[in-house]
Amino acid sequence: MLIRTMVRTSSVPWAAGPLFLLVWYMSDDLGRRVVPAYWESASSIPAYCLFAIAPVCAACAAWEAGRLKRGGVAQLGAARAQVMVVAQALAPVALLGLAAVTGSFLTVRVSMGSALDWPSVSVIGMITVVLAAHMLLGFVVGYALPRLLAPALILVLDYLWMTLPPTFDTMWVRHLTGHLETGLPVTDRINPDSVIAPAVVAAGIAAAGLLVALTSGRRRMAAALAGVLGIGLGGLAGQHLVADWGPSAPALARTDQPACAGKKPEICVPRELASVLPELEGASAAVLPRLADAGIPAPQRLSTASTATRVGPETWRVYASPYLTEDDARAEIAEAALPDLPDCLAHTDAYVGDPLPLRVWLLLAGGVPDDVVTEHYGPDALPAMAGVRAQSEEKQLDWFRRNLNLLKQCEPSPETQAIVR
Amino acid sequence: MTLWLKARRPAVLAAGILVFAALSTAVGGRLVGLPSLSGTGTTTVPLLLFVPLAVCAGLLLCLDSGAQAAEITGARHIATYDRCLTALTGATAVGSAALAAVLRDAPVAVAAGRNALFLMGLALCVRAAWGSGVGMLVAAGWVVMVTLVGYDAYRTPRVWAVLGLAPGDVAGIALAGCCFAAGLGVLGRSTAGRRLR
Repeated sequence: MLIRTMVRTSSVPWAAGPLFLLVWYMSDDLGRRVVPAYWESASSIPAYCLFAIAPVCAACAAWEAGRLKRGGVAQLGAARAQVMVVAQALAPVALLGLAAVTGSFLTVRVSMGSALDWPSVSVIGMITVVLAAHMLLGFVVGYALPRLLAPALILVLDYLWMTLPPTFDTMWVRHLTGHLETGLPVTDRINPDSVIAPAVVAAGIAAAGLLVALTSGRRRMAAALAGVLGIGLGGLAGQHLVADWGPSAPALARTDQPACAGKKPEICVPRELASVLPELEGASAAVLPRLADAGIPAPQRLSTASTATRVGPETWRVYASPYLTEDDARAEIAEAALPDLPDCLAHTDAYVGDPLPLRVWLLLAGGVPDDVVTEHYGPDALPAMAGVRAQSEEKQLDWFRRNLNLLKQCEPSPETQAIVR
Repeated sequence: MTLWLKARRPAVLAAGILVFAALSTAVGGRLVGLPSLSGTGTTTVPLLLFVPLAVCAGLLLCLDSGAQAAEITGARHIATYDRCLTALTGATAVGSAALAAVLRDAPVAVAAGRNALFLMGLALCVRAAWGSGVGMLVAAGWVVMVTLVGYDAYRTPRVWAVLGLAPGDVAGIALAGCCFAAGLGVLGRSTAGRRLR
């Protein structure tokens, strides 16, 4: 059968318009928020859009199954094999999913403005397996339930499966759907298990769907039992991979070479942020000598490093974004003098201190203009620090070190409570 | 009338209403965060939005049961019977939603009854043109659409979406009532789309 005929006789043209519009809107909106050119982060956007693409494909597949069932195709002496009948019914649905995902990638590429490398192959693979699984599941549901009920039921249940797990207290469930979080930091790469787990679960569902779809008569019951076993095994394997995870996948630092500039200190950022190196160099030349005068010695290295990596005392972790201005760069360099603090709130709801006053002090000591400090920390920041800044340099440094030590031990530091951003 | 009642398989409708009542009571006022296209990316909606689909499916399955060809050519007032059955279903849905609201002490559950009326009306109108399968899909699609675009960035429900409005919202009640009345009105004209079922 011609592909044009297959598409014309299917339900796909009805669903295509709204789906493409939805996917375009979401991809464009989210694509503008990722770090330009960083495909690893941008690749999660089409996976995020799966919450719309997968249910629509499942509903279309259920509709096609109902159409075949109503036509009594399985009972007729068809010249084509059952697998061909199913494949031809599902081909337009697969095309719909493929077109939506491709459209999402293209929209993200246009919204990002630039790109290094290519989209993540592992994410593309996961999306393909998940879509195939949802499509086959929809087809089986369409065969098993009345045509009136099946497409609507699978649309709603599939939509809820993709979107509800993030609201569950049981964290690992959300990592099995394939509906990836967006906003991966430019310093991190996608955790492979966050792609493998949903793919394994989906593979189990796809295998079950395929078994049931390609069998008929008495063998279908045995196929259904084998399918349940397949889904159970896939679910167990996927759950095993993400069982200990929290709301997000554990961060993994990138392994590729960063872009670096300067000697003392050496400034390193991910390749996608190489354009802001001049701003950071200029800011470090202005800020570091002033901090040294205030008693904070300059580091050997300034690095935009992942939170998943530990940095030594001679390296300051500096935050950089593609839209860094000169003033922002100065503020970031000054703030970078604050070392990594423990996650004090991980085990308690009690007050564990506030590093904001120390950050404000670092900005002021580094010569960052007052208006930039106010812009970053609010109108109360400068008045609250007036008392500290009025003291001698030695006393200011003592205040900073004393409070830093308290914060490192998760001890409340009363002297830093005054500023609320 | 006995034959009509047997042909309509009232047990299917009763199952739909029971599922609706049970889910309304179980879900109560529970809120969930779902993806949204309105500014923030996520919006908090009552899980109850999805529950009226059960009674909607029960009604459509019930109305589609029986010998359609014989009913079209028959002399009995089938359309009137169907309208009475649909009106009774609507009243039962509103009553069971109110009961669920009392049992769970969740006033928001009352809205499930109004939403059931709106979705049944919408599904019946679409059914008249394109058949029950499309009618049910449109009702389900409407619920999904409301979670995506039915609230603005400040989580205020949009009036046209109906489902997210507060239980006592006059505009919501009026829209749901009009839609249900329109659905009742077109019940007898559902021949055009039956070939698409």
